[in-house]
Amino acid sequence: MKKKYPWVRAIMILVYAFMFLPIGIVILMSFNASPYGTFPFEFTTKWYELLFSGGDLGQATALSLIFSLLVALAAVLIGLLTAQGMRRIGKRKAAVFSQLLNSAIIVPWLVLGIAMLILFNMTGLGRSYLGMFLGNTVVVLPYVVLLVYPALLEQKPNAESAARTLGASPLRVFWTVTLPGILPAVAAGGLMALMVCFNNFVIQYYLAPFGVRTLPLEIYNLVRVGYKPDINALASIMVVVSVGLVLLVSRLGFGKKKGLFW
Amino acid sequence: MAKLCIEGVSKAFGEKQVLSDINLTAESGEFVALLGPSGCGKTTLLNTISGILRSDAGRVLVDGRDIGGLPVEKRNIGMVFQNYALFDHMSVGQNLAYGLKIRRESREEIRKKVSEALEMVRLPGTEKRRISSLSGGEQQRVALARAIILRPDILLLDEPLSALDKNIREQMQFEIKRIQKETGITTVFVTHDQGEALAMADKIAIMRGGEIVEEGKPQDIYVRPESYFAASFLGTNNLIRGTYDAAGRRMAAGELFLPLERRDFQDGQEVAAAIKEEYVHITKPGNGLSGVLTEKLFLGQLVRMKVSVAGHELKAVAMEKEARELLVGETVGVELEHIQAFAVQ
Repeated sequence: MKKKYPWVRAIMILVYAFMFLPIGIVILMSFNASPYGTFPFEFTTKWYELLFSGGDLGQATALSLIFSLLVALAAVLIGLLTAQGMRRIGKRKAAVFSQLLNSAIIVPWLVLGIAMLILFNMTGLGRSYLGMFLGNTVVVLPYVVLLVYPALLEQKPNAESAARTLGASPLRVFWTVTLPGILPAVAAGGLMALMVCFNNFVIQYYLAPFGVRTLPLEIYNLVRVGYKPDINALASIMVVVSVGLVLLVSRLGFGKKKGLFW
Repeated sequence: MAKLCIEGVSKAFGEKQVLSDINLTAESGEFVALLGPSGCGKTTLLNTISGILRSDAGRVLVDGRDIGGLPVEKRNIGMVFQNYALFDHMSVGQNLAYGLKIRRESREEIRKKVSEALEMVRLPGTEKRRISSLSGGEQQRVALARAIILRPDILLLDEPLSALDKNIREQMQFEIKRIQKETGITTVFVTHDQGEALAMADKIAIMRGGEIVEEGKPQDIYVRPESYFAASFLGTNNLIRGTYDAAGRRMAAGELFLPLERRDFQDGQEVAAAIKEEYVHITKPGNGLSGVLTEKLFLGQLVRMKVSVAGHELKAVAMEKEARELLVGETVGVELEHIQAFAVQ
């Protein structure tokens, strides 16, 4: 028996429209010739040309990409070690540890950003690349651990012991047995870290060195003083790339028992 | 080929003593079964031999050499796990080659050994198969091949058959036994299944509560167990309690009197007797004790019966054709064989 709820469906459509309409409009306007986003619609790619013809946006994008990659890499390395450690200390202690770690997600980034800035100022680090790097790594670390730790627990018990009985040292066991088993989760965690860091305005706003603008900061700066549709073009590219990454992450298996390529 | 000696091994997890002062020897090429109920410490003992766990006290000797201080990978001990613990992301061939690669053997050598090992477990030509495409029985064979391909000094098997269907399990009992004899690798086999232990082992050690209660050849330990626990754990038993009558060299249980082989009891001491169901022979009236057949269950090849003797109900089993003429309610003769008696603590 299937009962129909027309209202539920209508509200759902409304909610989704509210979520996706602005994104749709941004993409639409990125192809509109009018610099003020007015109709009639006239197709053009000039905003994309403007975007790629150099300027601050391109530079900021490159900086953000490199920065996010470094942060994601660090988060994956630290996250892997953390998850391994959590498995060793047993489930109960690991649960406490996990909650502590997640506070980096639960505590508002606004608060965290200010707190870190105060701390860095006290220690003399101040606004710096290192400070920004540390702050963002802390914030994205829980995403890696949240994905990798359950994957580790799901691994076949004894496979690692079996490798040891076959003569493998603990390090070799990690590379040849443990890591291949959890690779989808590690990759998903890395992508999550990359995206969260790439989009993270708040932490970067507080911790970036003076004069240095990552992409979120550059966009904020541009929108504040004026608005050119090349930002629409950039936003459209970001939406497409983000959606692509999310699809990839879900293909890699968010806790699903599915391999990387098969 | 190596001799395994376990001397005074103890292990505790926190407050709980899991192994207490275990002594066990497996001669070179011998197949030893550790038999006991779950939680008796048999898997823990296996893990202290392999080095996955460190024992708190005692020594593990292989050919007189103490391996207790070595890490797992330096012990040259092969192990087959209950869940097989195969590497899912590798093919069958890669699983088998794993240990050989670590030993830096040549590609030719590895290919030859893998092919031979698969031949031995009767899975020739399956090198390229994925683990997930194998049946449980095939995975079992691959796990066994992966362990023996390195020619370990000692092979440990942790309940390797428990996850298999009954038919495949019986087939694998023969297979493992055959492979063990062919390779001559000293083997310790953990099981809670008495049938497996009896069928496969050269020697059985029965464990309970972290101790070895009794050890011996399968036939001896089955027919003439020395402990009450071993008697009750192996086979289906009739257990009768009574008192020892020193003058008559027998045990009295109400109206039933059983002659005993063992005589080291005090007069009037409380004793228990165990008689396996197949040693209760039901015959024509006039032979042995007199009883009444109360139940008869047809099982095909066998017939399971219950007979009432002097107020005691005894279980019996016989070949169907031998029991064909016995009818429920009739008076029958009952002869008892191999009565094992134990002091009641």
